[in-house]
Amino acid sequence: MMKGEAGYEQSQDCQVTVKLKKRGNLNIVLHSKMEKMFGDQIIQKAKEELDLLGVKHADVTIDDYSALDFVIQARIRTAVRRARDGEKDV
Amino acid sequence: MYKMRTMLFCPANKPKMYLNAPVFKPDCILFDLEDAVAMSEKDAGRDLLCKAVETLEFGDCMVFARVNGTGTPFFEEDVRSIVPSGIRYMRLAMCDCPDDVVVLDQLLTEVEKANDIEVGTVKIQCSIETAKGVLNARETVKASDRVISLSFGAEDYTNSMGTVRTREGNELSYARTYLPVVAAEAGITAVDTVWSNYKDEEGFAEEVKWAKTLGFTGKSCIHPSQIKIAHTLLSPSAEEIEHAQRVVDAEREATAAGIGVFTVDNKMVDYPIINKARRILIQAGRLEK
Repeated sequence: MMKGEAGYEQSQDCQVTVKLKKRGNLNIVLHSKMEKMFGDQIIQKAKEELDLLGVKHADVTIDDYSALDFVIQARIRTAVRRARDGEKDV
Repeated sequence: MYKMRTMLFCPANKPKMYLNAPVFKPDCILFDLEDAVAMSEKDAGRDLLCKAVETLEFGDCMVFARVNGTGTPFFEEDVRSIVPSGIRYMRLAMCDCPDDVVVLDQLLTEVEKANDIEVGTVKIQCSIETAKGVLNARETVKASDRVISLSFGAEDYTNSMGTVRTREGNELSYARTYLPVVAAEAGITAVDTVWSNYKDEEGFAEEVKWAKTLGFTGKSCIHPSQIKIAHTLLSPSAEEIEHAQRVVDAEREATAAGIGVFTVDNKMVDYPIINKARRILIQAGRLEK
């Protein structure tokens, strides 16, 4: 299982950890002060980005510090690439 | 020529900057993939820039990306990633010679074709930052029709000269005098270097005035507080506009009356003065190009 991380613990940013797996579908865990209001939307945007990147099986953790959608998607993209680069290095 | 009175530097890997920068209404926002982004974060900066440009509106601001130099391992991926996302203006860091521009021009053409973007859409600003870059600038800016401006980078320049930056800026005299001439000959915009001590607004204002005197029409900015100062100083003053309007009005009357030479404020007006007046009115938005 290869892991990739991206983002910072800073306002309007988020920290994303992606662990790529061979099976088990997507498991997305969100920690956010905005979870009650925007949790579903954030998860939806994360799923859209993972789908775009062809990720079917992964554990994804998003620690959100009031990031907008484009930031969450960008951090997911970077974390997935880093996880995949890690796989190549093995 | 493009209106680039201010170019606000923003690290490409800081989400906050994408939201805050347009609020201050700089003429250009420069998202930096080069020095402002750590080596280990180049990929993250690129991803954030791409997503931001795909998603956000930046109003009337021209959105530039400063890409890493052609000799770095990041250059090609920078260009291949950000053009499809919508970046149309690039500042090429460490532009030392015409070949640097040619390499970027060729890569842009390839990427534009691959993404069904009209060839020549993406424009280039040459960042002149070394002694070699200064001496080659005249040829460098002519290496591609995409080049719309040049910018001066004093920090790397002083490093290449083995000197240091001072508040007075005498160490920059040669480059600062030469580069606006290069830009004027090529018909492109010249943007001056940053003023690093953003708390020293007086020093910043003096430097902008000096840059304007030498022929720069824009200033790279590192803090939003510098934008209003630069816009004020790099725009024609009310007096300049009023005088220019009287020159152009007087020319119109003289032409209608069949008079070749005329005076305004007891001074003879000839073509260089009329052209200068027109340039001021165009800058002020009072006259169509």
